Amino acid sequence: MEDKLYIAGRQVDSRLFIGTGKFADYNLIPAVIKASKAQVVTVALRRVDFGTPEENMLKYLPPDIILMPNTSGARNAAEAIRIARIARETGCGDWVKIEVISDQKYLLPDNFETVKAIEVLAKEGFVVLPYMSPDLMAAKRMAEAGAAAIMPLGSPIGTNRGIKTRELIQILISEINLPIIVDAGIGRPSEAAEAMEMGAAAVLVNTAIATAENPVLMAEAFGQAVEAGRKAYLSGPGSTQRVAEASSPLTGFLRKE
Amino acid sequence: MTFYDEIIGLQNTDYSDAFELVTASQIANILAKAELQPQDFLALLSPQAAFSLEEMAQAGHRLTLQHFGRTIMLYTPLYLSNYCVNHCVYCGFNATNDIPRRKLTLAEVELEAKAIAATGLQHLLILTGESRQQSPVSYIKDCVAVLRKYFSSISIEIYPLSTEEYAELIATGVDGLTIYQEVYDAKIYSHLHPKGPKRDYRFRLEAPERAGQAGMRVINIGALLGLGEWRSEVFLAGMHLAYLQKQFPEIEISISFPRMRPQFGNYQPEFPVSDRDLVQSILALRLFLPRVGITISTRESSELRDNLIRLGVTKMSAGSSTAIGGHTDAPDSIGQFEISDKRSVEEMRQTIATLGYKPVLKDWHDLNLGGEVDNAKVSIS
Amino acid sequence: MQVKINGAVAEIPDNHSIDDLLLARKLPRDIVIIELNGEIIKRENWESLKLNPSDSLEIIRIIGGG
Ligand code: SF4
Repeated sequence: MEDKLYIAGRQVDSRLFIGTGKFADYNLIPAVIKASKAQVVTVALRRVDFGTPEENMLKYLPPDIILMPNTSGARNAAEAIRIARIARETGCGDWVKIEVISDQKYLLPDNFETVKAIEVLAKEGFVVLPYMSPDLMAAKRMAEAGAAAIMPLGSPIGTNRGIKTRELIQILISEINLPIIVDAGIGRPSEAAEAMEMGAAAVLVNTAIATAENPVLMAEAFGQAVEAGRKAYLSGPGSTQRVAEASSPLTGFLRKE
Repeated sequence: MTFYDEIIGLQNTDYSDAFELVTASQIANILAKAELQPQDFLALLSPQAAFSLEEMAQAGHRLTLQHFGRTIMLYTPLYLSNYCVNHCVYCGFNATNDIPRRKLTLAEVELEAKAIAATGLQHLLILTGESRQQSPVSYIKDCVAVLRKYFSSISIEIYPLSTEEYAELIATGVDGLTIYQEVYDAKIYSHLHPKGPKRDYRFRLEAPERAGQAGMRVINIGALLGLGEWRSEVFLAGMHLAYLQKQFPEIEISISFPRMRPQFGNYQPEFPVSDRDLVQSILALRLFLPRVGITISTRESSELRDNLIRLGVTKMSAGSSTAIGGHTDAPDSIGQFEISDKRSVEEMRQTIATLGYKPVLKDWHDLNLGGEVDNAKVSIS
Repeated sequence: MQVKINGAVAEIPDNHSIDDLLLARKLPRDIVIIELNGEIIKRENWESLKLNPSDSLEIIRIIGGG
């Protein structure tokens, strides 16, 4: 069956996106990407730290992937815009994950500032994928502002708590005509499968793979879970049963005809 | 992108083939689902689904209770004018029909308003034929200015307007729009509308969207059942609703199921719709879109209407007259179509209550305009 | 002369270019991006562009991130 994901007109072969943060060793990353079959891979930007030797992280990434720098560290739209522009200068391409976090306690994204950043960056030709709190109206504004996909959080970043925002994400999947990619919170392959069964277009996983005992094996497990979940979605699960309660016939009157 | 772009694709489908392929197990699966997709809705309109009508009824009944409670909103139509320049083959007000033409003066509008308000109704639907000359937007505005003293909600069912015109009427106090595409099948549409501005299928189809952009609070659409093959017509009307609901999440969206009745001019519906078909249409729609309002007018008999109350209907007209001045002085003037359920508002209220539902006469009060509603003149339930 | 590098004041020789600076700090050219006074500087200008006193320089690189 033909089932391809397209983002901003570009075909994406794997519905598992992976992040490259929190790995104990960059040397693991090529094997993780290979085992997971991921094609979209996120990276971040930081000021150079003169104290420690610098390594070129890009050399660990295979050439055929889609690089998606994020704007982590941005606390408002202006900072996110600035980071996105710098990222493009590195030759990473046009994709950018907008991540604006002004709340340092829960690390929840700021939807309002995110909308503002999308407006500017989409006009500059970026393929913008905003990380957001799953709110229908905010997602609509983001779509109008030119987002290429919407990336609602399943639960707060790094918590591995699973899809706590299920009902809200389900609404985005039904109402928004863009790929919905569940980002943040997915701690286990079963939760990735759950997101895919719900009809998410893809999931983005970082912490759960990077911090696993065996990241390469976990990456493979996530890859398979995402495929399984997608197939389940496509095969049309019976869904939740509406429990029938016996009551008097409602259409009996029609038999008189 | 408007719904017009979407319907072009939808009209290319061969629906009779799609309906043939539906199986009993498919229907059983659909009835177990929490949320239906368009193809599920289509399947529920198939002949196969008719075998599961009772199961559909149970599910539809539950969903309606869940989202609307035991309530039925009541409204009544007020015909302002029967001047019409269109040649809709099926309509008694059609320009070629030799009937007495009339439009209410503002004084008459006020009399009608008083008579209707005395019944306790607070939601009014005003109607005209299509004549920009006889009943221009300015005339509608004048009427609304009078009517809003008596009613908390005023809907219009008139010729399609531009976005700016809708905005003007909203500013005057209109909060609802009813406009039926009549028939979604573009070929039949063109055949049934041989002359007049209504020939413009697209301008009519996009009217609800224009009203939505103008800020209309309630939008009610529908297909006139009998003009086209009902299964595909109801499907397309449902897709239109789904489109509007998605496009305008802030708007209260609803659908009517008007069925062709005999009227002056003797048009006989080419695709008759039985009671059973009507019930299947209503239920399929309810299961597909659990939150939309469903309206049934007095075109239908009192027995059928009473039964439909438990099958997904949420709004009903009551105490209706389709003739100009029909609420006061003109019992013998010719109406647009014949009323079947002739019960008074009071009788309707009692019947609805007996069935275990609450008749709702008012569910909206605009605070911006509200100061002008003279509550002393009306009895509110 | 004094310039600001990544937010901290630093002392560098006069007439230093960006390339000179990177060389002195042992930073490979291909892994960094340079922002000078809020503006991104293209790689081809790193050799010719001389730094001025109190310039503010950001040296940024790509790292792993999610
Ligand atoms: S349906 Fe409306 S537009 Fe058509 S003839 Fe009747 S009153 Fe006129």
